Amino acid sequence: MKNRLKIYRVTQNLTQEQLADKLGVSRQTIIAIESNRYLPSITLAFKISVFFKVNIEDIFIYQNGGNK
Amino acid sequence: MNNKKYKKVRIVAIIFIISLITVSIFLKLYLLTIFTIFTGILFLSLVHSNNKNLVDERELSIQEKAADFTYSIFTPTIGIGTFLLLIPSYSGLRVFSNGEFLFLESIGIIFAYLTLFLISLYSISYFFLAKKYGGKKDEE
Repeated sequence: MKNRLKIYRVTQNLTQEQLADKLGVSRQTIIAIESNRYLPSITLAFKISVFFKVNIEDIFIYQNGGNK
Repeated sequence: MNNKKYKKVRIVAIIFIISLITVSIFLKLYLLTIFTIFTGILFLSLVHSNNKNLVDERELSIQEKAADFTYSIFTPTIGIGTFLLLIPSYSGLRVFSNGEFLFLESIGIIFAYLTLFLISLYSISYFFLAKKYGGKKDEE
C-alpha cells in the first residue's frame, strides 16, 4: 500500500504536528504512515480522506500483492 | 489535555511518587508509603480521565503486538524453567537443583502456578475479547 499523505499535507501547508492534532493521533503515527511503516485503520483512513476532502483512493493506493 | 502534556505530567507524577515511596520505605514510614501509593493511583487515574487525546491506534496496535510477543516468549520460558526446576523431585534426572536445594523446587512450584495463571488469564481474556469483537456463527 502506497499513500500520498505527505503530498496532501504539504499542499495544505500543515506540519505533521498540526495534522496529528487535527486527526487526534500522535505525530509519530503521521510519520509512520507517511513513510509507509504503518497502515492506518479504515477509520483513520476515512478521517484523513474527509479531512482533505478527497476520496480515500486518492490518498491510499492499493498495490496488488504487497502488504505495505 | 493533549497526549504530550499528559505524558509529561505522568512522568513527573511517577518520579515524585517513586521518590516519596523510596524515602518513606527508607524511613520505615509504612503508613506514608500506603498513603502515597493510593494517592498516586488516584492522581494518575484523574489525569488519565482528563486526557482527551489518549487513544492512538498505532500505539494500541504496537501494545497488542508487544503483549502477544511477551506472552509467546514469557510463557514457554517459565514453563520450561518450571519443568527443569521440578525434575529432581519426580525423577532421577538432575538439571538445576541436584535434588539438594529445596528452595529451587519451591521456585519451580511458584513458576508452575504463574505459568498456569498466565495461560488461563490469556485464554479467558482471549475468549471474552473474541466474543466481543468477533462475529457470531450464524451471521453471514
